[in-house]
Amino acid sequence: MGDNYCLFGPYKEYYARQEVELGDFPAGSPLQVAANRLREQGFGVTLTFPFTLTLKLKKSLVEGGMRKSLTIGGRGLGEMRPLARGRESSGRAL
Amino acid sequence: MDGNPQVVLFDIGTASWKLSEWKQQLWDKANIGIPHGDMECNDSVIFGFLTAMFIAEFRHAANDYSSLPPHIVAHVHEWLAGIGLILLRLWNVDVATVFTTHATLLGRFLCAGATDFYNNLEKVAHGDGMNSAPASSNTLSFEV
Repeated sequence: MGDNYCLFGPYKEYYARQEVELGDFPAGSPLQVAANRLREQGFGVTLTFPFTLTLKLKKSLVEGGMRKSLTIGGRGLGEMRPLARGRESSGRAL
Repeated sequence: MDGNPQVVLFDIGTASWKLSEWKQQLWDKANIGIPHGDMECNDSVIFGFLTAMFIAEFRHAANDYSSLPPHIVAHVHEWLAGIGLILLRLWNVDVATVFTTHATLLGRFLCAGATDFYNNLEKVAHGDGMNSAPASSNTLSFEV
């Protein structure tokens, strides 16, 4: 189910830099096609993979002894909530 | 949620040049007027158009992607995202739509009154609580 689940939201540069990994989806996937069509019209569309970055961040922060200060959420991170901080702070959760 | 959800983020500012045109379309097709200079409303118009356009394009692309017909549900939360749902219906995009509103004044009011809200949803008639919560008339119209 999760692979067929897609979240939409407004792009906020500050949080996007911190909380998600930017990158395109596989060429030809309907999501990528839709994004390209909007980009052709001049609109900014960012495609992201929140949880992969979360896992990388977790690894780097835990290795750096900063686990308690980690506030960025993701699946399998115990006490943390997925994407909660960025979405709440933006005030426009979708 | 199992698997890897994807996230699509729309840069509102890159579409601000379309604002007037989109407001006009919203008025012409749905009789919804947006207050001039209301940033929050303006942003919600832009966000709604971008999401609805994206979903329409996605629906189109999904048709060609598989031999099976795509089953798509667009679940929209709160009025700030609601323009997108309205547009999907106005444009007759073939997707199912769900609208969820959270923590409304009426809901809070009824819950606080110990009405066992969720087990009595079907008995809540439009207008219940209106007299006691006059200030919330805008929010109440979304309910029922």
